[in-house]
This record gives sequence, structure tokens and C-alpha cells, in this order.
Amino acid sequence: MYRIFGEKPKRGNLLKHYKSLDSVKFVGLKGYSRYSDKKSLTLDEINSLKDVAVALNRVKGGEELIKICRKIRHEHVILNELYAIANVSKFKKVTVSVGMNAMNNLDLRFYKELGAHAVVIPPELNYEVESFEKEDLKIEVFGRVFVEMFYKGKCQLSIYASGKSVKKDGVCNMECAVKWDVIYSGQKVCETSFKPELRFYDVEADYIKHETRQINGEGVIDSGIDNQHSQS
Amino acid sequence: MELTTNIPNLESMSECSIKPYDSIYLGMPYCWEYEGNLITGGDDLASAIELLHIMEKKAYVTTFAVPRNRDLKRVFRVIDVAAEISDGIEASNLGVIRYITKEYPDVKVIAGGLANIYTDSTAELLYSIGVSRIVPAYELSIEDIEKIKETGVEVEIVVHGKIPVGVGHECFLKKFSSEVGKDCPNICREEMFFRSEDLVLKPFGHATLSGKDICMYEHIEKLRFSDAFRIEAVTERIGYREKVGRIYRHLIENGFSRSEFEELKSISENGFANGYYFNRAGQIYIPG
Repeated sequence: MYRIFGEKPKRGNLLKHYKSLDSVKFVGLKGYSRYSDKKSLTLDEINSLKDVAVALNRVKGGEELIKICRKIRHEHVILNELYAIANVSKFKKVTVSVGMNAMNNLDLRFYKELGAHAVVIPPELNYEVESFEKEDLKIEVFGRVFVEMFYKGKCQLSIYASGKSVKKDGVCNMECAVKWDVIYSGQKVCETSFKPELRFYDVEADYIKHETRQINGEGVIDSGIDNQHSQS
Repeated sequence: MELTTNIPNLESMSECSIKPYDSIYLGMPYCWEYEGNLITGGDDLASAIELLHIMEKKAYVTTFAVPRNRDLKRVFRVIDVAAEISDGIEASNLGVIRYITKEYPDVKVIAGGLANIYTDSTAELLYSIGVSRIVPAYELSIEDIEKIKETGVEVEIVVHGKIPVGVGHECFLKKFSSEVGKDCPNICREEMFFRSEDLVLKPFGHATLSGKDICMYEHIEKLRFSDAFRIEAVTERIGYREKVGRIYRHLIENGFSRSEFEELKSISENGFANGYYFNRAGQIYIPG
């Protein structure tokens, strides 16, 4: 079990803290991972690294994912497709992506039945992580994360508005962060925005994830800075 | 072709609103607190199912879309009743889906549109564990849905109405209760929209829906391969379900009618979109 800071820790403390943890570094496979291909790596680059796990959390057909997982030499992958989870679990450690939106113990039992190693829980459920069954299946939670308008894995706003699909293309146009008029009963009552909010959680679980791949050096979501929607 | 829709409570269940349909999904999946929600317990659900059977309609029961551990007892209670007397249960949570196929193997299980079924391989796996019907992920194109149909599972698709663009942890209507001056459950008696230039969304409980109505009236022939057409009406005002159902019933049986298409347009407060069927942004409408 790990424990992290409840508030944003000072930089020095954070580095010291991270170094004290056993860690798994997830890297994205180009064409297969979320948050664009800018920071993801090719198969050859990934296979030349030591001790990484590989994120293949874009929606692809099950057979294609199984095929590519066989070419990855690392033993740990993160997946977002049910058939692939069931079949890749036979030869690798599989973490079920937060995109699968595991919400409860029935979800956990199902992923355990399929052979998964761990399940990522949405950050909104961090405060009830104690209610999750912890037998045989590892629980992964977010320690540092952008909490968004909708559950991760349950948002289609980007493809609805602009045709960019988080699930299928791995990129998001972040329409959530624009200014919205709130209309009630035909009248404008106020304005609002649903900007992703960077949060630090003090939470215990088998694994604690720190989102980094989609965040640039200034702590801003990359895809948001591209289209000037993010003011994170 | 089965024409189906959804009804949240007994109050919305008039005979004329049900008449055009072959089957009805009972219950509001986006909010437990919705007044009279048929899936929050009590005798209303059994009464509604009985009423539909008297009218010779199939009665499916929906379940809460995003159940956390604390919601499971209520979900189990609904499933117990539905398994006994309904014609099928819809669930959008994969754990709940697996629970029903295991515990009630004879029950027709329908995987809802929020279950994130994107691929034929996922559909194949769910079919193999007992899921009878799938509402594919809303953002799939016609070609992707056809592949799912090829697995042998029944496919149901939304042909008209507002589809979810996201599901979250909180009710966005409640978030604005002080600005509006109303609280739950009265706040959702009138409609709220989020508007940013030409983009419109309709928050409702844990879901936020497309502000525009998905409309496939002009393109219905391209969807004939599916097993059921759904009119999404669970958050709609009185009269919507009946009018849209009647128009699509005529379309299925008699073909296109310009005057009925114009009538559909007049019902839609924010205009039409095609959703994702043509591999475009969901809010775009391509005329037929």
C-alpha cells in the first residue's frame, strides 16, 4: 500500500516521495494509446526500454490488440477492450483501463473472471475505495489527475462537437472548457465552464497512478493547449 | 422491426404515448431521485409491466447507468422483480450485465448504449456469456454497427432523440439549483440547456445529452439491418414520445412522408443531427 500527499506537494518533496516508491512506468504505444501520438513511442523504442508497462488504451479490435501485445516484450499492458482483456490476460499482466469505467464490485468480479491483474478506478470514486473487494485483483487509483466533466471513458463530447474521438483517436478537443451559457426554462441564468481540474488525492490502494503523459511541463493538458481551450 | 422507447415513471405512461411502440424500457437510468422513477422500488414497476402486458407490449426494465457499490442493493431489487415478470433487462454497467447473465441465465439481457461496446470482438464476448441484444456505443458508424450485427447478437439503434454525450459523477442541474431557485426533484420539471455558440447540450441527472435530436428519418433504409429502432424519449416532455413514435411507425410501415418529416422538425427545439452514423461529428446533420 502506498500513501501520497493530500494537497499539491512541494516539488522537492514530491521527487523524494516518488523515489521512495516502487514504480511502474506506463508508456504509450504510437497509434494505440490515448492523449495523442506526440509523446508515445514506437514498438521498437518500447521494446528497447527496460522495465516499462505499455498503454494500449485506445479502442481497437480485440484481435489486433492481441497481435500487437504478442510483439511487446514487456509483461504488463493496460487495455480498454473486453475481448483483448480476456485473451491477453492469458500471457501478460493486464490492467483494465479507467476507460472501461469500473464502478463497483460486480465490475471487479467480472474483470477477475476474465483474468485481469488490476483495475483502474475513476478518481471520483477515490473516497470510497475502501468499499472495493481487494481479493486477487489489484486496485489502481489516481493520485495526481485531471478530473473532468464526465467520468473518464464515458465522455463523447469531443466527437459530438468536433469529430475528434478520445476513444477511437486518442485525442480530445476539450469543448468542456469553453464558456457555456446555462439556459433554464428558456432564460439564461448564468455562465459556466467545465475545465478539467488538477487534483491530488490522499488515497491508499495497490497502485497509485500519476497522470503525466498528457500533461506538459507547465502542468497543462497538451491537447487543450493545442486548441487554446484549456486554462488548467 | 421492433420499435421501442423508454418511459421513466407511471405518470408518463399514457395509452396513446405507448400505442406506436412494440416494446417499452421502464425506468430512468440517469437519476435515482427522478420523481416516480420506476426503478427506485415500490409497486409501480410491477404495475407498469402488467399494464404493458395487457396492451400486448413487451416490457423491458432498465437499470441505473453508473452504479457504485452503494447503489448495488437497489439495483439487485430491481433485477429481482424484472427477472420474474418482465421481458428483459437493460444494463449499461458491465458488472451488472455479467451478474444478470450468471444469476438469471434465462433472462433476456440488453447491453445499453453506455456499456461502451465499440467492437465486434467485445460484442462476441458478451454474446457468448448470454447477452441477447446490444445497443452499440453511440459513436459508432453504420459500418461498425453492421460488424457487431454479424456476430449474431441482436442490435438495437437509436433512430431519434437525444443521446448521451457524457455521464458524470454529479447531476449538473443540481449544481445550478441556487441560480435557478429550484432544487431536486423539482428542478428537472423544466428543461436546462448548456449553450456555446451552435453547440447545445441538455444536462439531465448524471447524463448530459445532445441538445439536438438525433434524427435518422431520412436515412432509415440504411439501418434496416438492425433488429430494433429506439426513440430516446426518457427525458422528454409530454407529447414527444407519442408524436415521434407515430411518425416512425408510419415510416416503417408506409415509407417516407415529407409532411411528417416537417412535423418532426417542428417538435425538435434545437434542430437535428445524425449522431455518428456517417463518421462525422455527432452534431452535424446530413440531409437525405
